[in-house]
Amino acid sequence: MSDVVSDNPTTTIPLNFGAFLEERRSELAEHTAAGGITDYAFGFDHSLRKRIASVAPARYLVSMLSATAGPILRHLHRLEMVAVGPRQFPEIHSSGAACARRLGIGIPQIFIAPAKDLAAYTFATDDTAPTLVLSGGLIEVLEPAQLQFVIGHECGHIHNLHGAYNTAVQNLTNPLAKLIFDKMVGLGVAMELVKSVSHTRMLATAITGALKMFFLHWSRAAEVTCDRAGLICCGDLESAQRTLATIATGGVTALRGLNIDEYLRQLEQTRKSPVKLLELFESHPLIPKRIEALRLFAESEVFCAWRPELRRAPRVLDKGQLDAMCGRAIGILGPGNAAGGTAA
Amino acid sequence: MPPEERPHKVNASATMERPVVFLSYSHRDEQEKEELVAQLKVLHHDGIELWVDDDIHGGADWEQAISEHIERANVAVLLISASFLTSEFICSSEVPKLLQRRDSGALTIFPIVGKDCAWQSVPWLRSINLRPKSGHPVWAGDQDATRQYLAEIAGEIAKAAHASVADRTAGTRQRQKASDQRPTVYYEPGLYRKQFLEILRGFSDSIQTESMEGLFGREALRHWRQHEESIREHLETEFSLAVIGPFKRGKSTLINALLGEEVVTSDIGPETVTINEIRYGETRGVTACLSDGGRLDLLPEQIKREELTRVLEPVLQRVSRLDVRAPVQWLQGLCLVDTPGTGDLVQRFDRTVQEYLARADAVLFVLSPLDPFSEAERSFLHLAVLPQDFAKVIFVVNMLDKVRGDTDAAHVLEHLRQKIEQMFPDAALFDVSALDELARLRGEERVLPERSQSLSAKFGVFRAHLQESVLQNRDLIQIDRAAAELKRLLETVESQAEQVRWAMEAGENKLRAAIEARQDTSSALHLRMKQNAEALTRKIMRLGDEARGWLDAFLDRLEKVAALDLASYPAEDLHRHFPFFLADALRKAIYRCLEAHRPVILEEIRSAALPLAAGNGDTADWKDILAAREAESVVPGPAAETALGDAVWERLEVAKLIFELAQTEVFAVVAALMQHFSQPGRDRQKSFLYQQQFLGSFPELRRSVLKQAEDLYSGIASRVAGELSRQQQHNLEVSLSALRRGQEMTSDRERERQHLILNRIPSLIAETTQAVLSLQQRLCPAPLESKDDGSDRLAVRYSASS
Repeated sequence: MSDVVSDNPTTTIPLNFGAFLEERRSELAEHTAAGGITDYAFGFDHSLRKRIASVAPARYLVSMLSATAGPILRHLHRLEMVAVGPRQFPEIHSSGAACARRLGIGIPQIFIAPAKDLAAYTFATDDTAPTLVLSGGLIEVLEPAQLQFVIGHECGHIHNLHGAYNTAVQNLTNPLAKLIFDKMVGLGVAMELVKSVSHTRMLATAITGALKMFFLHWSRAAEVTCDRAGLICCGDLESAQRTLATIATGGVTALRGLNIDEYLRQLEQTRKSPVKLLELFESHPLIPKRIEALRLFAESEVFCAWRPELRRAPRVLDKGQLDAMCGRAIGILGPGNAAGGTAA
Repeated sequence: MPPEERPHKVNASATMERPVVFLSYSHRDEQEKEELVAQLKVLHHDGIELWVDDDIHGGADWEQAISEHIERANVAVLLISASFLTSEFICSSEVPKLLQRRDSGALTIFPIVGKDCAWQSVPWLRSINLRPKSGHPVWAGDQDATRQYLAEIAGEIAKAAHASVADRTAGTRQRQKASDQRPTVYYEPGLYRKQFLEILRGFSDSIQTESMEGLFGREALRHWRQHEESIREHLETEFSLAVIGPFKRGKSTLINALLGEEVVTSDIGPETVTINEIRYGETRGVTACLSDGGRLDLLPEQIKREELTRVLEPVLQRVSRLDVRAPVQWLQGLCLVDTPGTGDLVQRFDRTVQEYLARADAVLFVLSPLDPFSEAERSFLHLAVLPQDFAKVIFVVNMLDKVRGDTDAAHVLEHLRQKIEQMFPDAALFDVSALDELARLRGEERVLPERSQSLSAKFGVFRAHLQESVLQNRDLIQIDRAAAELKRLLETVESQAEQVRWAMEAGENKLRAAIEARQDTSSALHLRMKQNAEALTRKIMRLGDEARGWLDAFLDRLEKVAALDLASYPAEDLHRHFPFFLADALRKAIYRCLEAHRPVILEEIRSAALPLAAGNGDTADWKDILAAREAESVVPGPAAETALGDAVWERLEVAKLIFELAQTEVFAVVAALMQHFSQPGRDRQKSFLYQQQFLGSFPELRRSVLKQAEDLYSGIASRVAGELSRQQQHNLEVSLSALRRGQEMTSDRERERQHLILNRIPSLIAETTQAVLSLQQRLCPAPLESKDDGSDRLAVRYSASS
């Protein structure tokens, strides 16, 4: 019985990283325009981000955060949280790697925060070595496909370079991130941050005022973009909707059977009431609106281009139609003012 | 007509079902004729014979020859000009004959206005559709336009010619004229099928009898009947040709181009999710099959995307499949399956596609020249298509219009041919542009006017091959498959009979011993089975060692080649893409090892499966049996291969198993790799440091890859051994029941009676086998797979439609 089959069959496998890189670049170039604007980004996200960047204090805050806070934050995360890796919750790690491969960003370092909240965030820095944080609560209540949606959503922030802007918004709103930010100042590690403390105070004051509304307004648009990234990564509209529904019901097991359609109808009733204006102070669009926006995206040309194998919608919306319909779905002030808030 | 205007045979080979195109022209239009003939000659690839009435050899019987060819013609092309319309011979002799034949429905006339002339004043011409439709002469514009137009007309002519032939064969076949020199033998389609079914029925009638039931038991006979029904079922279903391939390969366009009309449009609703089953129908139509089994007929205008949405909205059901009907002749008796694109073929191997694939008779695999034969496609073919052993796998490289020129195209094709030949040595490979073909057939602007001629010729070659080697042989292909199934049934019956005979002939003590050996798990038989399973495991582990050696060498290469210039890339790109490059390379390497070992593993399983057909399980007996088997295996024959029996398990299950394991295990390797690239910090700015880090972690990478390979192979070994013992257990039970039946027959008279019945079985099996073999030989005088089919099989042909 001869054991040797033949020659080594691996010798013909090409090992040219340059060629691989070229191929990846051209694949990804189809989906990304100059300035890192992805083809799935919600229109308002892009235009508002440009406007925020033109406000001097905001730009300062953003650059300061990426340069100094980024590395410190990462160290702090290592101290405070569980770092996911191939040997530490490998499924979560490979879920992050799958998103990275799909979107063309670096593989994210995922941390798990010891918190029951259903929250996740990512912070500053470019898209080559991103970091994102998931709460333990999320991991407890979500199915793998749903978690993929959340990780994809966070990778969307990275992919769209929301980074620093997002960090600012997180600082103001996200309870998980706030904890870390507070600690950072409290520990006195952030020397450079302390040096610029006067600026920070000034900024904090400014941000709590009109600027805050502005950030929030952009943030809501950016979340729509990232939900789209989440759907691109997880690929299953049903799981994506269920994830948002789970968050809406606080992850309570008894409420898993939430009737999503009924839940969406419920929102219709508040559309006529002034109560709806409270959404202006939120960093994310209301969940029914996000579900609505996702459903539209699932029927879009852009989604088909990313996941042609999953295409099932007979209706196919082009980018213009998609953003217009999506704008109407997430609008706060009513028809005709899709972005809501300060956009005049 | 002057002597130089005499008819001439351009293409002499003539068989009756080849469509014949008859070209008539005036000698004064020689130059125009030459241009037209140049285009029409391309149709030769489409199986069409061209006959031009310009014989320069002359002879007294030339008028007779013209008459004969008019009698054979399916399409007459007339090159209309003033000289044509004033030629006395043409007008008084040829035209009346042509019109007469047209009136009998056997001929289509294609008048082409070549030069300006007063054709409107010729009565018989007014009633025929002219080309160009405008009546504007072909040779009036610039040369390119003329050539392009002629090529289009050639396409129309080809269509008309095939349609005409199909019409004729659909009706009563016309007897060949005595004047036809070469006798050709024809068989009605379905005749072989009928004969095969008769053989099957004959065999079945002989075994499904009371006396056989008394011998083998009710259960065995029920199994055989089920087996027989499945063979019959397969033969009765229509021939299915599955079109598969990943996304963005223009599968739908290819199908449309084949059918000559837009049957599946990108507008047909969710065409990428549902499967389109395309069949022949008198009129065009689409039926949506809903997931709950309901059906919904759609009007042609409802197929458009928006309409379909509107229609299906109130139905609230998912469409599982669209049944498309098109009035295209060659679809008769055929089901063309338009499968959804399969995304990343390896990762998302669609279950529905798999089911269709399992049922398909032939496969059309669509490739792209832009992304030719990716690793994913290779693996898919290896794991899903290759094991099924299709009689026909045709590869089509579509989207040739996307390649710069014919030289580039030839280069791509050659590259692909080499790769495909390694896997499918007999498969045919074609390069086409479906987009261009469709434009040509619909008379639209061509995609690449300068290459339109070569593109349409290439599509013609592909079309002709499909027609010749698949569609005309479809009965044959199906019967081949059914015959293989029947062979398996015969083997089962034979082995049962052998066991019953043994049981009857063995003395009571011997029989009891044999039954005990099968029941007692500590017997020599069981020991032997265990040893075989262990040997199989060891063998697979040794293959694992070999794979590790290969991977070790591969890693050496990776370390040297890939890592060498790492520092020259931007750090950003390294972070973003290198881990995936690495993961892909490693996955490929592991797949390659498995691909190389798969046939060896299958062979090992085959030899490890014990022949349980006879014997009492004593060691001595086993030696005899094994020796007999070995002698037998030298002489190939229908009974040489029994043992494991269930060939489907061999073909599909092992492939699937290896495939599944490779999926999970390879991902584990990849995940382990990632760790080395997740250490951000200031250093990540520098490519050089990245390279150092990579090289530094290489020993660990090597260790983990080799470890994973070991785990992978031991996983295969244990699953295969488990599967083997399950299968053997089953065989053991079947064998036990046969032996027990032998034991139950106690009286001598009964034995004698059973012996008589039993003695009939070998001759019955031999007769059936012989009948099937001779049927197959008559069906297929040349081997089916021969690469240059056509020429030597012309004598015995098959009519195309049923």
